[in-house]
Amino acid sequence: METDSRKDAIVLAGVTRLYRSGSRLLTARQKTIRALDEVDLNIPPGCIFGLVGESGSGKTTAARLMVRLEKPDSGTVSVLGRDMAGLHGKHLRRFRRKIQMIFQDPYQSLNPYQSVISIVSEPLSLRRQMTKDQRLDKVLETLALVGLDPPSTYLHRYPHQLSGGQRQRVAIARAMVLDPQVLIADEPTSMLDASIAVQIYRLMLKIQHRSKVTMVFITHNLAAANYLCDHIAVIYRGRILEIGPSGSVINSPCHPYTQALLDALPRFGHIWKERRFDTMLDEPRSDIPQNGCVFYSRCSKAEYSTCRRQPVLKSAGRDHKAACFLI
Amino acid sequence: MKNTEIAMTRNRPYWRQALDENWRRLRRNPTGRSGLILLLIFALMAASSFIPPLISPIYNPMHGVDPHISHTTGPSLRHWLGTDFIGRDIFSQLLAGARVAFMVGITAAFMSVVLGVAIGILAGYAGGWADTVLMRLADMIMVMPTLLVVLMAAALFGQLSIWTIVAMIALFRWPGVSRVIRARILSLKQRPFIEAARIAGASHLRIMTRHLLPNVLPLALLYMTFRVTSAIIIEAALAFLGFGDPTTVSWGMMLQWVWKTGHMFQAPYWLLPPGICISLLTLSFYMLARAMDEILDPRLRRRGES
Amino acid sequence: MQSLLEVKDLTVSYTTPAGKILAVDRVSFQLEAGRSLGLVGESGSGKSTIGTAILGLLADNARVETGAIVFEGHNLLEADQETLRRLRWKKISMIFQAAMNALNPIMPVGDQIVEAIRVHEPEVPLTAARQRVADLFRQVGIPARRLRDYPHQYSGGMRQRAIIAMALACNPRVIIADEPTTALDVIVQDRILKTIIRLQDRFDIGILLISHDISVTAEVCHQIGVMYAGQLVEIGTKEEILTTPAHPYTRALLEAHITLSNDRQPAPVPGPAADLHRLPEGCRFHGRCRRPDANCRRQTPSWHSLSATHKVLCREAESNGN
Repeated sequence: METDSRKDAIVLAGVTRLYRSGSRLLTARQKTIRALDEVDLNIPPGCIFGLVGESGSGKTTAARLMVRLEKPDSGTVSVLGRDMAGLHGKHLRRFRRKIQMIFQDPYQSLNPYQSVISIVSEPLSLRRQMTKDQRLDKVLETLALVGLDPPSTYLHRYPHQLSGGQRQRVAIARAMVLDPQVLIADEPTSMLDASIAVQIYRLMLKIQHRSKVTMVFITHNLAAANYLCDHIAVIYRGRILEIGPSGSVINSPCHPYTQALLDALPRFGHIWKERRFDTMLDEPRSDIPQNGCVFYSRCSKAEYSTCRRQPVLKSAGRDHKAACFLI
Repeated sequence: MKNTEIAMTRNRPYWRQALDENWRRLRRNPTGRSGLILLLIFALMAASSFIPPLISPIYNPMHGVDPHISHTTGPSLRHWLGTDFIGRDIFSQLLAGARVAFMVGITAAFMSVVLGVAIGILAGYAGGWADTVLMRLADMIMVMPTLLVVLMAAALFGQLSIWTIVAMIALFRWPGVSRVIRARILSLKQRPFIEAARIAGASHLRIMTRHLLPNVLPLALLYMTFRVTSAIIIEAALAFLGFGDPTTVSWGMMLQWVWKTGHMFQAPYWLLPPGICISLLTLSFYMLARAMDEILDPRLRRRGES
Repeated sequence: MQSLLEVKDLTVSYTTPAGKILAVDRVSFQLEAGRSLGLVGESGSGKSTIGTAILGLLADNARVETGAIVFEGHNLLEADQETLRRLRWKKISMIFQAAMNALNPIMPVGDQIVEAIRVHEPEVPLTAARQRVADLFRQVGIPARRLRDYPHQYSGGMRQRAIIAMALACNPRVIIADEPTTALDVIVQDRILKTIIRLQDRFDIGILLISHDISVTAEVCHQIGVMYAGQLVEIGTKEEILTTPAHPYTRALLEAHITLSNDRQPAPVPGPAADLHRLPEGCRFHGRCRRPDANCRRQTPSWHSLSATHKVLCREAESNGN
């Protein structure tokens, strides 16, 4: 993606985020986990960008940094050309409306004491210039957009009266009611039935098609990322290991970790009938080099002499890069 | 459908539905039902306390002295529970005492819970030094014996009016509430719906009042019910020890009169009614609170710390 | 082959504030030793209720209306609590979704499984129990040095594998796995499923795998049963269900699955999920079916065999099949 970085919707430049596990009473040593380690990432506007990795890879941390629920320990996070660290108070609140987020668990992300109308109109009511009728019109329009039809029948329902899929639609409506320019979806279907997930994905595609919002889709499932996204970045232990256009990453994966993610998908509907790569070790290696490749401990292809250094992203095709010494 | 029509078809809010549901369960719960029945009897007593003085000025609980009686007498047709040492009607005093007990108990509990909830939400949500300062303050107040402090205040400033006593009880009984509310807020504020509100651009004040407060209200109501009991007991104890409001007829005050005039063991018809009333009223609030606890607890646990 | 576990005509109802519902409605299937059956369906289709009914762990507001669950010649529904308690873990064990809740946080994982063995088989000496746990850990792929670790030191996938080890501890005949990989990421899911496949080959265990994800059951199971609104609507071998699905709901589920291939666009199952409080007349699926006819609205469908192992509850199959 050799685009002008000033035009990119989201830019992470050298972003590091550390988590320190609280010093316990018995084990005095304090552990520091690098949730993100010197990550550079440019997300062009108007696309759906997939951030793929397993739990603990740092993908959710990246999302939280983008909406500034957290701040990086070093590096900068810029969204729509603004450095998020420089925003405070009222300015932050105003700017945030352009960057919305959908959370993983629709059972936890809606206030049980708020009705649908109250949930969806809340972001609007913080904008003073709208009249009550305008607000109601906007809420109805947004509910129709997310497929809660007819919208008026949902207005006065409460989250506990809705199914998981309907709740997630309400959460999407809350995010979309402000016409944001960036929408971040953090595993929006992991709590839903597989058959409901498709409905949510189709809805996201429809929304993106209509509003040209920049979407960041966070998932652990490469099949879902392939279905939705234009570009995919594969992330592992806080580092981006492979990045490129979806088709290229899925059909010719370069990094052993991406290959392992593809191998791990169930055979049903897979593009390959058998496992093709077998790059993931069952038992992690113990001779882990300091500052080596983060995937070394589980990589079946790695050799200590080459992989004890940290690989950088290098070209592996058109717009396609991978951080591995073996390519 | 026109917008105005949509506004008309509004359901009852969720908190109303939840309240109705819990009310139904409370009435089905045996402890809750007994508490409610007892409470209803006392509420009737308090409500009818206005009637005796209307019948005749001699039934005024404070100033109504029966001209024919100048010492304490036992129950009779004219005075159902007898009279006190200067000929005032004990039954009308008992009714007036019920009114005062309700007033003191509910007002003090309400005030302490409002204070406790406000401080609990603030401390839990703000965190950091605000949390530390508020919670240390709560700890300090929590270890002070309320009764003793109020006694000392009474000794310092002379007679306290009933409203000063209420305010002091409220001021000393909020820390327990705020601790519980704060703990709940700490878990609530990690929930995605609070983060979603922040991302939507809600201010801190709005998050505290619109998102956190409704989620702790059931808990606050429960604590208020427990607090009523302790407020009534504290007021009664103060009055009995002679530091009550001398212009108000409370059950504690009645006990004090029995004791001061040396009728502790001579006039059971005078001693027992206020004593029994204090015990039963506090018992009824306590039973109510226990039943509420039972009803709310599984729900709190199910929604709870994930 | 003699069936290990047979569910016959099982009907389970729940009493809810809004009325009584049939969560499981006349479901029958058989599970054979060394084979596995996957039950697939949306949430609320009754698949988990079947699992809890077999284990005798139904909720208080649930009631078995009809049917029998026959295990080794005994009807479990007529067994008393004490018999059931002894059967659970020892003969029929379970793997649940919430791995964290099943482990005691203040006890090393290895000790917990040793304890479980000694509770159910008091005659086993401590050293033998320890040895057995070490073997189990090797089989499910946890290094032996992790035996002394506490649950919070385990990763999510490792905890789930410890649960599998615990389920295997007393050499059970049947394992009921209810959404064993939901909420785990693909790599961990893959590991867990591989472990389950290996175990059924090695131990001759019958596995009932309950999942909302048809690809998960397809990965592991020999047989797949599809559930809709409390009914089993189609059952057959994995190949039959995946290649020649007969029920429109099965076809919709397969089409709704997100796969890697770009040539096939996933299509969501049309219409809203079934409401057990307001079930339609006739076929329960007709409102969401792509090709219902007038009779589907009126007539209750009946079972039709498509092969010795494949049958379906749909009128369309009747007209095509005969």
